[in-house]
Amino acid sequence: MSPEAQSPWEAVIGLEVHAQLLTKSKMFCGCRADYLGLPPNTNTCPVCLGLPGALPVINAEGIRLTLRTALALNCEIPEFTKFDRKNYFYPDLPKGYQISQYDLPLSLNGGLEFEADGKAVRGGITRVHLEEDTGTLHHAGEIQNSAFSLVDLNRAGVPLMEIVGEPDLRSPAEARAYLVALRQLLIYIGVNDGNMEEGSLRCDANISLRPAGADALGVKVEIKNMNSFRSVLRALEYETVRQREVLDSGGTLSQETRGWSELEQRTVSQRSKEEAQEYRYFPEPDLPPLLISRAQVEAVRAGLPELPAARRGRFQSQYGLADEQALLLTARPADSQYFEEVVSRGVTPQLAANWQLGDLQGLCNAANQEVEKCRISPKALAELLQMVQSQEVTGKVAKEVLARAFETGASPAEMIRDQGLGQVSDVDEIGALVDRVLVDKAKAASDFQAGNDRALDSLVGAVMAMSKGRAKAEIVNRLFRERLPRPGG
Amino acid sequence: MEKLAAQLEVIVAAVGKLALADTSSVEATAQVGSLRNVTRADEVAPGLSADEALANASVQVAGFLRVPAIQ
Amino acid sequence: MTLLEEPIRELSRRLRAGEVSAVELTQEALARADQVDAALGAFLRLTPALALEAAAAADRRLRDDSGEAPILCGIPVAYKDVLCTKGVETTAGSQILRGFVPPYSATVVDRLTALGVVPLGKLNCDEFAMGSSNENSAYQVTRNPWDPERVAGGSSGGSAVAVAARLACATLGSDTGGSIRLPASFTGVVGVKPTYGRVSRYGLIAFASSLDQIGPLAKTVEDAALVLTAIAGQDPRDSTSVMAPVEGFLGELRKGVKGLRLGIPREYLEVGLDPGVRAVFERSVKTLEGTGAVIKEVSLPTTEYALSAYYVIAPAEVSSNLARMDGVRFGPGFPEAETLRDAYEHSRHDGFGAEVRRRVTLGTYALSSGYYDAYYLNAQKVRTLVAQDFDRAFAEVDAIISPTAPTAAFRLGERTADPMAMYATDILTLPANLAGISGVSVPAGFAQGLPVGLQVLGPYLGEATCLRVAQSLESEVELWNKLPPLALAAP
Repeated sequence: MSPEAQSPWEAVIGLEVHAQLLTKSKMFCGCRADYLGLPPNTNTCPVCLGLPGALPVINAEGIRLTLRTALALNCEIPEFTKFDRKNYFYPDLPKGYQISQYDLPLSLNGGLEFEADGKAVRGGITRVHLEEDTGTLHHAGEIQNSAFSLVDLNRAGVPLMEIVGEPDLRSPAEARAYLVALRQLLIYIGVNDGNMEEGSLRCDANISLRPAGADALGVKVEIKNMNSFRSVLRALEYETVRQREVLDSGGTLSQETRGWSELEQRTVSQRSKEEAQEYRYFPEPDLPPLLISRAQVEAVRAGLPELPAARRGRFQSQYGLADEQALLLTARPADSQYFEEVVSRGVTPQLAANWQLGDLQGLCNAANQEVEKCRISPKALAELLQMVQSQEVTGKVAKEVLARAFETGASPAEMIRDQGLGQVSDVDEIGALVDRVLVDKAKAASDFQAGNDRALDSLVGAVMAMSKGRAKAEIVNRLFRERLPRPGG
Repeated sequence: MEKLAAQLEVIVAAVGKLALADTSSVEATAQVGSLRNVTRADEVAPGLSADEALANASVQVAGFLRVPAIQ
Repeated sequence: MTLLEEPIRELSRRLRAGEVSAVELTQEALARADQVDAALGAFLRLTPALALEAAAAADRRLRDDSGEAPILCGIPVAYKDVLCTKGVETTAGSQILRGFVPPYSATVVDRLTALGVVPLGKLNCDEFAMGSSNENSAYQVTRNPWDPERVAGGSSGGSAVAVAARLACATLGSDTGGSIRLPASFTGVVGVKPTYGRVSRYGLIAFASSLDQIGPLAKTVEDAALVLTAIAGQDPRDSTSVMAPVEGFLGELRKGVKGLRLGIPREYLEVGLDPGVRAVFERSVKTLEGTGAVIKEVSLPTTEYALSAYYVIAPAEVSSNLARMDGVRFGPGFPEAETLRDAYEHSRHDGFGAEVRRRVTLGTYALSSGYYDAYYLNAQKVRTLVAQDFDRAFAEVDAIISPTAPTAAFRLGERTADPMAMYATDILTLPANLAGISGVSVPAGFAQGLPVGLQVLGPYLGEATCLRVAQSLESEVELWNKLPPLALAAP
C-alpha cells in the first residue's frame, strides 16, 4: 500500500528546481558556460574568480532564456526587475556573495500542468528567477569528515535559473511527475539539457504533513541531494513515512534540512550552511536594473516553440494517433522531429508511428542509442516504409532489412533492390510454390479441407519459407483457398 | 574588542540620526544615474590560464584550490 | 624649474621636440623619489624597471610618430594602490592583500598605458580607501610635505603627496567620500572626482560600489583635465559606466567665469570652519566675483543627514565587497588553520586593520534583517533627498563652491582615537558622492602656512564647468608653482 493511502496525514510538497541555462558564456562574464570535463580552474577570469576590482556584466541571453521559461510556465513578467547580492561565506562562492534576485525577480505566479496517475494536476509556480552558479567542491567521503576540500571554480558564474514551485503537490508520485513534466518543458524550449546526473538540472524539495483536509501547514523539512527522478520519489516516500511516524507517536518535527543518502536509502539531518542563515540581501550596486517592455515580452512569447502538451494534442488530432503513441512520440523533441520528418516523406502516420515506436525503438534500446543518433535516418526509414506501403516488400522482410541496416548503416531501400528482396506478387510464381507445398504437405492440405483452419498456417508458412518471406501473403492465402475449396470457404 | 564595541555604539547613535529625516515621499537610490538594461552579447571571451588563476593562491593541489575542513 | 615642475603640456612639447628624453625624465623622477620620499612615504613600491622600459618605448614612439605622439606619451605617473596593475603587487594598503599580484590591469591603467605613460609605482593609501588622513594604511604613514607632522589627507594621501612633492606629473586616486579632493586640499594640488560612471571602475578594488570613482590628481587644473580626458569614457566591462561624450574638459577650460552663477550652500558654512579656512574661502569668492562670476546663496537642507547616510551606505557596501578577501585565492591566508572557519577568521582578523573591521561590522549590522529598513534602506532614501537638493540648486546656479574641508591638515594622531571626528572631515565632500555629481578641489590659499582648497561641484556630467571655475581661480591666485618645503629637499 502506498504511504499516503493508509494515513490521515496529507503530504504537502513543493519543489525548488535549479536549471543551468544553455548559453554560450557565463552569466556575468565571457567564460564558457559549458564547463564539463575541463581540467580544474581552467575556465575562469577575474570576474568569476572574484578577484578584487572585477565587475559583472549581465548576459542578455540569460535574461531571454529565463523570460522564455517564465512565459512557457504562464508566469507574469514585471516591468522592473533587478539583481541582488545574497551574502554568505563558502569556499565555492568566490566573491563571498552570490548575484541573485530577491524581491523583484524576473517573473512570478505561473503554473505547470501535467498528469499524475492519470489525473490532471496543476503545480503552481511561485517565481522563476536568475542567478549565478557556484564553483564545485570535492572531498574524500562526506564533507563533515573531510580534513580538507578542493575547490574548482570552472562552474562559478554559470547562469542558473531557479524555479520555485508552490506547495501544491500532494504525493511523492505527483512530485516526480511534476519534475518529469518540468524537465521535458525545459528541454523542449531549449533552455536546459535536463541532465540530472551531471548536475545541470537540480532539485530540492520541501515537504510537510498536515491532517488531511486541514488548511494550516505543518513543519517544513527541506530535502536535498536527490540526483534522479527515482531518488526524488524514494526520498519523498521515505520522508513521508518518517514524518508520519514522528507525528503518529506524538513527537514534533524540527524544521531542518535533510540530505538524501542514495547509499543508505534514507534522509539524514544536515548541519547545513543554510541553518539560520542571514543573507543580508541588498540591491547589486554594480548592475543597473532591467526594464522589461511589453514588446520584449511579446517577442519572446512569439518565439516560443510548440510546447509538449500542444504537440501531444496536435499529434492526436493531426495524425490521428492514439494517446499512448502521441505521448511516447512527443516525450523528447528529437523523437517528435524524427517522426514528423518520416511522415513528411509520404509515410502514413500510423505506419510511421508503429515502426518508430516498435521495431526501430527496439533496435535503439538494444544498442543503447537514441533514435536521432542511430544509423537509420528519417529519410532511410521513410524510404523503407514507402516500399512497405506500396507493397514492394513484405512487412517481415522489411523488419529484417531494418535490423541489418541498423548495424551497417546501409540504405534499407537499396538493400532490398540490390538483393532482390522485394515482394513477389506474381500469381504464377506464387502458384508454383503453392503447388509444391500441396505435394510436400499433403496431410496439412487435407486437414485444412477437413475443416482445420490452423493447418493453413503451416501451408502458408512453408511458402513463405521457400520464398524467403517475399511472397505476398494475401496471394498465398487466396491461392491455397482456391486450390483447397471447402464447403463454406 | 570592547573599544570596538564602544566606538560602534557612538557611530550607530550618530547614524541613527537618519531616522529624523523625512523620507516618506521618496524612493531609495540604489544607484545614481538612470542607467537601465546594461547587458552584453552571449559570446565567449578568453579568460585566465590555470596558472594565472591560481598564481596568488596560498595552497593549491593538482590544479584545485585547497581549503581546510569545512564541517 | 626642474622638469617635474613643468606643466604636462610644456613637458610634452619638450619630449616631442627631443629636448629631453622620456628615459631622462624617468630617471630624474626615480632619483627624486629616492631622495624625497623616505621622509614622506607616498610610494608603497616603485617599479623602476617597468618605468624605464616604458620610457624607452615612449622615446621610440615620440621619435617615430614625429610630433603626433599623444600628449601623455613619456609622462611619469603613479597609481593609488587600489588600482590593479598586472604583474605588479597591489595591496590596497592592506595586509590581507600582501603579495597579491593581479593577473590583469584596471581599465584606466590600460588606457594610460596605451597612451605611453611611464608608470613609476604604486602609491600609499588608507586601507581599502577607508580613511580621511592616510593613517590607516597597514604599511606606512604618508606625511604632508608642507609639514611632516601633519597628515596628507586620505584616502588618496600617497597620490596627493606624489604630486605635491613633484615626484610624478600626475597620479590616479579614488574618491568615495572625498578621498581625492580632501588630500588635494591638504597638500595644495588639484584633485578631480568625476561624475559617478564617468570613469570605469573595472580594476578598482571596490570600497563602496555606488560611490567610488577614480580620478586624477595633478599640480594644475589643465594637467588634471588632460588625464581625465584620457581615462574617462564608457567601458563595457563596467555596467555602471555611462555612455557620455568625453569632451569639453579642455576646450572650455579657459572660458573664464564671467556670467557664471556660483552657489554657496548655506549649510556648508555652518559646519564649524576653521577661521583660516573661512578667510581663504571668502577671498576666493571675491576673486571669482572679481572675474565676473555671479555669487548666490543656495540651500542644501539635507546636508545634516548626509554624513549619517554615507556612514551607513559605504560600510554596508564594503562589508559585502570585502567578503571575497578570504585568504584562499589570494593573500597570505592562514595556512595553520585546521578548519575553514578558523582560516577565515584568522586571516580576516589579522589581515584587516581596525578601521576596516569597524566599518565591516557596522555595514554587516546595517544590512541585517531587522535593521535593513531603518538603516540601509533609509540611508538610500536620504540619498535621494541629497540628490534632489543638488538638482534644485543646479536649477539656480551653474556650479557650487565651498571649502573642500572644514580645516587644513591636522596633526598625525589627532583624530585617530575618535572615529566620528575623523568621519566629520569629509562632511563637505561626501554629499557629492551620494548624489554622484562631479567635484574638483583646487588650491585656493594658505591658512597658517598650510594649503586650503576650494571645492567646486558641478551637476551630473558637469566636469567641464567645475574645471572651468577651478581654472579661473588657479589663473588668478597662481599657486600651482609654489612648492612645499619638503619637495625642495636635496639637489
